[in-house]
Amino acid sequence: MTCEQLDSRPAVINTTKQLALWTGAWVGSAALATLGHQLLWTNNISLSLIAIAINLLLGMQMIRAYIKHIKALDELQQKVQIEAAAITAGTGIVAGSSYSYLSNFGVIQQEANIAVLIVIMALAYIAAIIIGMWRYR
Amino acid sequence: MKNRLKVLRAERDWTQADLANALGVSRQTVNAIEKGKFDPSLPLAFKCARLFNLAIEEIFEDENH
Repeated sequence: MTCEQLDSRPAVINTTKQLALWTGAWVGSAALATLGHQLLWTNNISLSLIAIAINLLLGMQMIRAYIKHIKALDELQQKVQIEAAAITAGTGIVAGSSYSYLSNFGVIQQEANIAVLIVIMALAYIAAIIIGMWRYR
Repeated sequence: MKNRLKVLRAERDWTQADLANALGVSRQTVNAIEKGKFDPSLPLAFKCARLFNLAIEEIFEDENH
């Protein structure tokens, strides 16, 4: 389903594309910072700091794009987004603390990895958006 | 909250997309309002009233009243 099918208003199409662009750039820069440190410039701290700074700047742009996108949506869509954001934040806090306890108590062998939490939050957000849109269809 | 949006729209032979364009919202929002699944804000209700040249209470009705 394209963004044009979800909402044909030009402002929403534009902000959706901007959000997709900045999110893609942020994910790409996160991959570069992680893989670069491990494979490309092994243990060169300066290059890793630059990669992290780029990732941080792109992340801030992604947040700005998300805020602009929310502002372009209509009131029902904003309601769905706010509910999804609340569910995502709640899931992140609850799942994050449980995951941290499991790691601290040695129930899971490897150290707690932030990437796992990001994936859980992303899945919670996607599920909440789908359920929200289905509820008001 | 009950409303007469669907009837008013049909009288003018408008589609949900036409009404959504006129109100500056998505078609999904018009559909949700018509089905009573979502109550519009006061500014959007006023916009509907202006569009149909009616008073708000001629379009929207409080079910608890």
